[in-house]
Amino acid sequence: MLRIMRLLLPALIPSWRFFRAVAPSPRVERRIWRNGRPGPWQPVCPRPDHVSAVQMLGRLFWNPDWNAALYLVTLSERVVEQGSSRAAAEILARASEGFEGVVQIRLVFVSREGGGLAREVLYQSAEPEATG
Amino acid sequence: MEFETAVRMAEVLLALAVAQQSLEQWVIDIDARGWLALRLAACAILLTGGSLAIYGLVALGLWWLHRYDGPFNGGADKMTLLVTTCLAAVQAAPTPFWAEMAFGYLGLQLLLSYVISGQVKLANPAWRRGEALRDVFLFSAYPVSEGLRGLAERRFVTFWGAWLVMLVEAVFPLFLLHPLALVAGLLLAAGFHLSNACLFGLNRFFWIWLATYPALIWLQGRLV
Repeated sequence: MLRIMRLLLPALIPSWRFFRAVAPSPRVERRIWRNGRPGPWQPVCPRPDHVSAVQMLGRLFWNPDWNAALYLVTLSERVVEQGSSRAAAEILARASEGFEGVVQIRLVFVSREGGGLAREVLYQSAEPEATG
Repeated sequence: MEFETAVRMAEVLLALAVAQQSLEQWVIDIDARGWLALRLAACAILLTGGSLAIYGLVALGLWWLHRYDGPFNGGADKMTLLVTTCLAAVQAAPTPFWAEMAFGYLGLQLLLSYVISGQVKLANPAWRRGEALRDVFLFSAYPVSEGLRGLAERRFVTFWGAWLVMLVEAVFPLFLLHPLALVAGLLLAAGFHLSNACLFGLNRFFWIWLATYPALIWLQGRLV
């Protein structure tokens, strides 16, 4: 009950500080282990090169894939900011859906550094050997 | 706008917004379909005039928080819970005075959602220089396509776009001075949410913020 109240209160007394600052932004990446060897890191939920205006308007009504991808962003922030093992497990489960082999994930946070972009890995799940 | 009319409009818009969220969630979270079916049923009852269904939506909103260990969709989920709870408080209020207080609180929070959001941006030099909006396009997780990242290089868009957003948000209380001004302000704000939905895929924000507008329209008529 206390936990629910802790989650509910920010909704009933919101802070409304949207985009106060643009923080480093997470990307979820995964690689597949087969026969004890890892494949390359690849983005989970990569965004398309182009979305047409008609598609944008259609997504106003139906946008489950994108909202699921945004949930991964939320989970990534919980992993890094709160050390939530539950969030890490949920990212791993969602990133593993539809894949054969053992999936490993990492969270790469992108930020602006000088004139370019910097990438920093702030979380990486255990390698299969380590988990036995 | 009459109090009863405004409350009914808010109920209808809330029911539609929650139904839209729940249908999307139906394909995202297969294990939750039992709960989502209940949520859709509560929306249907609320839509057809069964105002007591709002209590069911409150309970299912708490289940939602428990299931996802917090919001699934950030501010949109928080606003959904706020609208649901305020409308439930309207139903549960012992006197018309307290019903108006509960509905007025929703209108006040809508106002604060714009004013505070605008003020915290104005206080940040990166927003005033247009750099923050550039960063949103450049590396945040929100642009719906790689092509949109090119907007980061359009100084005109990021600088004046940032100032337009900040000023409209920060001065939003001025729109309360006249009913027609409020209509104009809400249209501007709805356009802002629409652009966020198109560019950043934040479609759930668009629908749930619309559900709060009747509360502010009623509040403006009550106060001014």
